Amino acid sequence: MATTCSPVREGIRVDELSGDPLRSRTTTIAIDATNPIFAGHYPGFPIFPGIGLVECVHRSALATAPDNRDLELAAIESTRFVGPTFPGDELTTDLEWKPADGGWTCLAVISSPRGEAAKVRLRYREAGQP
Amino acid sequence: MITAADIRRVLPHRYPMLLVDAVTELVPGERLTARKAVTVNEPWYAGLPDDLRAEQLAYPEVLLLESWAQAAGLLATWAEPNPDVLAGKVMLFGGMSGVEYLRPVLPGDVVEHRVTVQRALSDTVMFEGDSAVDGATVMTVSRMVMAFRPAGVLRPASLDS
Repeated sequence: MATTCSPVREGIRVDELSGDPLRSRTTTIAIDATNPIFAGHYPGFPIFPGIGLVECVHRSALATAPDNRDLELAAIESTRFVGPTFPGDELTTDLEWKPADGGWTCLAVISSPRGEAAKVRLRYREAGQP
Repeated sequence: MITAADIRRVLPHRYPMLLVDAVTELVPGERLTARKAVTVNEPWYAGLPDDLRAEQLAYPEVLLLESWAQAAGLLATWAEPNPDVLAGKVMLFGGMSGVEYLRPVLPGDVVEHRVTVQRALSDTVMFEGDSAVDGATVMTVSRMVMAFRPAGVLRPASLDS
């Protein structure tokens, strides 16, 4: 069960987790057709929103944080949305962590079964830091 | 004041993804100020454990951004709304950069979004702005790109061909 509030509560699978905190990792999230997002985005034409993709990356980042650090989102540095995603899509996220500016940067590519869906770069700070 | 009824005539989003409650200032083609009240009664709060700390009930950062983006969408389409996502030109999130989160937003907060048009081309509009709660900035947005494309680009078939 999710312990924080999120519009993407689907289960997450983490692969390629190793002892090396900066090694790239992969996660998989299957978007459930019953996710409440779809009732309103959009009625009669369910499509997974861009911010849903960013949330998948964010949850993937928290699940693969270097040394299991307690991180919080400081910035969405950039996103580029490439292709639409739909109910039932299995989304795969490839992440790469880099130390940056007292915090961490996470570079991610998220893909659907039809190919790349978005590129996202997030920045994190240690939880509780200004 | 532009009400939720007016907003529903312009945006295709509906519950639980219609994340703008009211517009308090609108200068078409230039700027807009909108309000979003955050409540634990949104579906993202369903089924959470009983022993969470306040910050674990913070409003999801991506939904705060979606709410800001919908305010930008209202500004972009106010003069020529197309609330049908299956026909005509649809508004798509092209991308964004430099979205900074300064402090968490909690249930009970009323967020004020301020959106300014940076640049408008024929089928692309760029925005910047911020969001505040009780006068304190909670999020800043350096750039958001909204693209207007034929509705067909959203259909899965268009990607299969």
